[in-house]
Amino acid sequence: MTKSLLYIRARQFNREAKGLGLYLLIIIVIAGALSFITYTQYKTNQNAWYVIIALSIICLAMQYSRTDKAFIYKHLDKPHVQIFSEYFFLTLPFSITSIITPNWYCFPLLMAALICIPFFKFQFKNRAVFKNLSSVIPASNFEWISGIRKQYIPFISLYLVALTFCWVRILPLILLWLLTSMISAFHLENEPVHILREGNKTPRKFLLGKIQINIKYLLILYSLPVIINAIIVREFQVITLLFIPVQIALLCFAVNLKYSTYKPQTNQLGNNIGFSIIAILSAMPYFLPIPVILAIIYLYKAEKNLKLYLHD
Amino acid sequence: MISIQNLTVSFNNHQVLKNISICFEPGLVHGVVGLNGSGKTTFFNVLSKILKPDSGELKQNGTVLTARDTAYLETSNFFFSRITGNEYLKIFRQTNQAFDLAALQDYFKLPLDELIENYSTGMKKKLALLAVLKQIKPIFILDEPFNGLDLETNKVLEIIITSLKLKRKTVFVSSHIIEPLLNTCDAIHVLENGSFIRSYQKIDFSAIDEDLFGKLKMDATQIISKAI
Repeated sequence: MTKSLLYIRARQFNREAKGLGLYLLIIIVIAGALSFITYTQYKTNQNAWYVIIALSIICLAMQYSRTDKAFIYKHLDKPHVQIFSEYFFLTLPFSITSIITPNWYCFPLLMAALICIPFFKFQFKNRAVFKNLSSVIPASNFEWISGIRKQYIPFISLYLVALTFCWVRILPLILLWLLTSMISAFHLENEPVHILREGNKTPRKFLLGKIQINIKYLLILYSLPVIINAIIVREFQVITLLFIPVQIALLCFAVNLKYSTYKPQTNQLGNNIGFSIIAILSAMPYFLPIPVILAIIYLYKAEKNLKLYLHD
Repeated sequence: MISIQNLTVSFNNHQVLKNISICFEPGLVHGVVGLNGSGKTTFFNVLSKILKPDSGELKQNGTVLTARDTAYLETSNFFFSRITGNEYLKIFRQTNQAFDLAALQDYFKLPLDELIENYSTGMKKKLALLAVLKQIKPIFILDEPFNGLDLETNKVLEIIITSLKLKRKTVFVSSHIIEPLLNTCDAIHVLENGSFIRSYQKIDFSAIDEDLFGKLKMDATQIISKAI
């Protein structure tokens, strides 16, 4: 009975893994690399305890945001043990290696922290921040309203830091590139069909409308820091000038990717992996055209997929 | 007249709707009842053009039925996260000029400035219903609209359905509870294993309970009283 939560997670993992295909391999490679990096930190860095603090904070954040707490504490046997086991197995690949290094104490320290976490049962109600956001962004662009509200702290922080340091070379571009990734994640939730059909548009018109509005908001946000950066940091002017078109292509790709895999009322978290790979490639000079090519290819795919839902 | 000819829908080689041919009189309230899995939601999905049938023809007054003709309240409503009730309603253009949100709010009492994820099931249903009522369409499809609503809103919903009928709208309603359908419908159609097996006009409603549950009541009363 105390294994029931782990059993549910194993079933969920198996189901998700089947749907991920090649991306599963990428995730395993990334997890393996992270595990190796943490091992080398334990082995070589005297202050490796920061890894344990990071892992504890991640687990605490998960505990804070998970929505199944009420169910687990009410219905499962020994809920604290079950939740602890979950965090234990999740952090194991990044903590167990410490026991064969000089930082061996990190493992028991993490265990002590993980034992405490299940006792944090707080569940805050989500509050509507920026209640008047829809007077600035029309409600029809609900992805932006929803996304900004979900990520408002990192979103505003990244933008303000980029704006503050827009006279520094490359740094503001890196920050805005991270912001593009954040904005692209606004497009991971699929609206129901009746919202899709609002306005009675054809698939092509619908997609071009979405692309147009995303480009508009991106230009409003990025123009000021990028123009200042281009004026001040003259030796990187070519990179700066290329930056905005690449970010536009990335965002168009994210929109088209969403609608190429659109199924009403679903989340498409898997798309984030595909987008992340393309976003990383876009930062390498030889791969710059890739987001543009993919944005065009996926525009046609999205149009084809939307014909299933916007038909008459 | 809304006419459906030879409508067939399959999922994974399993026929969910089997060669349905039926006509619905316009401007009336049509109840659709059936057990779980009988095909009610699939039928509504086809009617609202969310689902493409394998074969069949759907016409309204002789012309092909389009998505523009229907407003659809789905059985389970999905809302984008972190948007408020007000913002959700603003997504939909108000094509129904008579729609008066303030007047309806007197009965619905929704906290429209709050995030929808903090709403109860019934509140979410009411919000989705408001979005449906903002639109002017000839056909309204309400899939399990009474689920999750409190007693008072159930009555309000019955009044809304009757008002839609008075405006000459054709309304399709499904429910797992027969009573609200008896109060609001002009005809009730029984869907069983993907086919409409029977239709009752208002005058015959007294026979529904006996026809649908007569045998069940007789068999189950004795068995259940012994089993519990």
